[in-house]
Amino acid sequence: MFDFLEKEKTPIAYLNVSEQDPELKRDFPKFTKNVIEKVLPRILFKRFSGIFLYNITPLLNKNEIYVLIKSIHYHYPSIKIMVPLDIEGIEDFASDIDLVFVPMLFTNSSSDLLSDNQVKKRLFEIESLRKINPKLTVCAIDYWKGSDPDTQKILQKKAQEHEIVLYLVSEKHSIPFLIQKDHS
Amino acid sequence: MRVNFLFLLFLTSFSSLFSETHVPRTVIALYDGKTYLDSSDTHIYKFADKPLNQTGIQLRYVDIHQGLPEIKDQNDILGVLTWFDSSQKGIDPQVFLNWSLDVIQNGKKYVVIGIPGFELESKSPLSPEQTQRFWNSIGIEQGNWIVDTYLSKIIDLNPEMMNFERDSSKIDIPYQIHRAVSSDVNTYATARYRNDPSFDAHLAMTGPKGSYLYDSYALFTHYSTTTNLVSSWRVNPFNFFSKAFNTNTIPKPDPTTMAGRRVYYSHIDGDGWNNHPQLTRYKEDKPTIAAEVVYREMLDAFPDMPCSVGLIAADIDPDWFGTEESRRIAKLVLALPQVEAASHTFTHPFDWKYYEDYQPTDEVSYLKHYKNKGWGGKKKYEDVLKDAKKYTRKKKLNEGYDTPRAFAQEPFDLDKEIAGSIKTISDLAPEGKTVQIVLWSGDCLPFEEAIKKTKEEGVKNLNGGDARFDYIYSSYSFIPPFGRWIAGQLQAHASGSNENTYTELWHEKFWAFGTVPETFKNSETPIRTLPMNLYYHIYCAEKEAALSALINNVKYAQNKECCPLFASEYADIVEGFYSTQFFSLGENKWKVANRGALQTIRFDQATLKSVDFSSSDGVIGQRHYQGSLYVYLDQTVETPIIALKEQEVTYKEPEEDRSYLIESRWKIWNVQMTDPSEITIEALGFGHGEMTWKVPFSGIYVIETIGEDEHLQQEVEAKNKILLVDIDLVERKLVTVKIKLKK
Repeated sequence: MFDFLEKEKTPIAYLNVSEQDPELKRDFPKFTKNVIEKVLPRILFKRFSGIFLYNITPLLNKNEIYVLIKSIHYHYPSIKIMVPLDIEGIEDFASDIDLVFVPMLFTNSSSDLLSDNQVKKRLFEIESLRKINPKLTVCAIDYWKGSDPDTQKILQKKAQEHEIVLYLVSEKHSIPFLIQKDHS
Repeated sequence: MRVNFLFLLFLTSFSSLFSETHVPRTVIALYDGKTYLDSSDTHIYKFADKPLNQTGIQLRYVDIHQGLPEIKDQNDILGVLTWFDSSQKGIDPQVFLNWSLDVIQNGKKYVVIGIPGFELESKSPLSPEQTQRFWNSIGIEQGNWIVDTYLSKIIDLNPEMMNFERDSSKIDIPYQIHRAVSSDVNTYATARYRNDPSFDAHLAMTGPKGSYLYDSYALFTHYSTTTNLVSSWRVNPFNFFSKAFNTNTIPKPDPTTMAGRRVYYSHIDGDGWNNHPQLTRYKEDKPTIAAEVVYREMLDAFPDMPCSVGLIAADIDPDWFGTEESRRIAKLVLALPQVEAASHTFTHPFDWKYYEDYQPTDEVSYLKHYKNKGWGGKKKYEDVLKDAKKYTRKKKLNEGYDTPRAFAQEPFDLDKEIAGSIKTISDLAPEGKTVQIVLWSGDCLPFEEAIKKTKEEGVKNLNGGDARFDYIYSSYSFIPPFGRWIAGQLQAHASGSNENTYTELWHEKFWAFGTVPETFKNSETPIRTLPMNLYYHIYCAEKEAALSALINNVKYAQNKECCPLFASEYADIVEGFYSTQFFSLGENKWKVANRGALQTIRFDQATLKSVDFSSSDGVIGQRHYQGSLYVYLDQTVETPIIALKEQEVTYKEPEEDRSYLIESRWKIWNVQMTDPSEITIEALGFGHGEMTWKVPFSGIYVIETIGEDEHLQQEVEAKNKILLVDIDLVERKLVTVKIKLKK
């Protein structure tokens, strides 16, 4: 019973930043104010304890992304912030985020394993961020042929080796592979 | 020349005197005192009072059967709120209507939830034309009832206002058509009948003169097997009331926060002081009482987490049930510096109402339930017992209680309950320490005289409310207001609920008290609605599961950023919430008066605002949090002035050319600033003196801490103009702290 209570989950809401009113964007401080005072409370009132900021680049430039994420962390220090790994300028605000999302870290969309060099490059980026923020959780989604248990084992081993929360997705299956108890 | 200067000075003072306008924050809450004997039984108290508190409003409850209040020239009155249903008893509808029209005429905002008072059942009901006068005056019209709601659907929902805790997309209960007819009335949920716009009804509306909310739609309620009443909001009550009373831009007194941090306090009701715990490790020792387990594992073990311990005097008075052991432990507990002496009354009344109009003969039929028949077994009360045989008055005891109080060695005496208990408990405390607060017992519904007695004794009072916000009580509707008023007397509510509500009245699920942090979390984000309050009974230490839960709870709070206080300090702050007055001194500038011990003023939707220190007085610090700006005031300044200015930086502390406090674990006051980077303060608190200052220059600062027996000095580097101070004091001691940039 106590175990159940102690295993805290972090429900994360998906926030498509580019869906926000583009009119507001013309006045960036007001845009940020709207996110802080209206958009986030609506999400958090639903008892989410984190947000995944997605699709940011089409609307905001590098500096604006920096300010938005820093502002969210400044106003809501206890909520978890997740962003995609390839977001521009991530190293400048790595200490303000809690999770990064990496699609197709080990495989491509055809479920084929990526080359070691391709993987290494991404892992290097991840390690650089971890140097800035050692508490950073890295979540990846990879495609996997549901009928191939060997590849599944290889992928899970790689994820474990690099302390990555890996989700394997196939046409028929979705296997969350958790290595940290406080994230799901 | 000199004359002209004086004349100008006079004119300036004169104009500033008259440009000061009272910012009203009191709303008249009308209720039917024939149906509800106590205002705390009403819908308004149960559901609306707390969200209104959050928007800065305090309610003044008025029983409509005692006469409708004078509104004209009442500068502190912001408006009127009514929440009636068809089962309630009204007054002459014409009188009610005329009064309501007069309220609107006087520029007060009128908010109707449910049925308006002039439409309650009456022998002389008003015509639709007459009632329409009221609705029209607030920009609304009223139509027919829609009963066959399977033909209705919700066609328009405002996402910021609706779908709050429960889906709002359907209407399956009959409703009366109310519709906005004025363009300045905003609507948030529209029901359409038979797809015909002419039948459109607006179920939630706010306007500059008045607002309307259809209660059966806006608030879902039903009785469940796990709790008495389950309720959840379809409308966002914070947004609704803030728009209805237009409070967005006004300052709000905030009892949840001190020195930029969330308040933490803990208090214990002394029930079970002399019980024997079932813990194996204590059974091996000599027989131990539960109070000793609490002393060892909860109080002595956490010197940085203060606790107000409310003893029941009967448990320690040798003439009642006190023993050598109970008194020995009481002395140990009260000697701890982190413990505040509190009274949980003398005899622990369960049903306070029972004792409001007390005659000893009332109690005689219950005496058989007490040990040795209570005072019924004593010779000196023979006459009373004889009288009781002739006695015919039957007093009803609240359901759920076998006896009206826990101990009855003497007839009830209010003076003994309050003053007597305070003296008995204080006598066991070390010199200079006395009881500071009474923690109400039983149903926690003290009557007027009982609260008055605490005031006469110079102590604070607290308890009741049973705040929870977790997986069972999963709605803001389970958070009570900061306090309860009874005939002009204020009872501060506790900010948490004790283990009883988690353990089916201490019968099962003894581990479940470990879920308290859920309430801590839910009441913190996205809006801080409560302090962290750890509230329990001594008997919690009897069972391993409950004790383990308790220890986990205090550890959870210990690891959170907080400002720990004694319960009496919090109750004092709550009094300040109700007494605070604001006077506008122009745009974005206010004078704060009569705030008592309350030191935090909150501004909502203030991401782009910060304190203008050059035009403010008595402001120690500011902190942005969750879209709001928390402003910390200096308790030594009686009428501080807060001025705000616009700012564009949203991701870090505003830059100033002087130092200000961001947050502190200790209370801070009497701030002297001889230089922008040289500060002298007085401070007092529990645990390490952690504080963060925004300073005008980065560099090395010298921190000097001077107390009666202390003189500490340390050097700390401020990086990015942020100075993190940590003063290592074990015991709570008043100190002077000097912070100075090393030249």
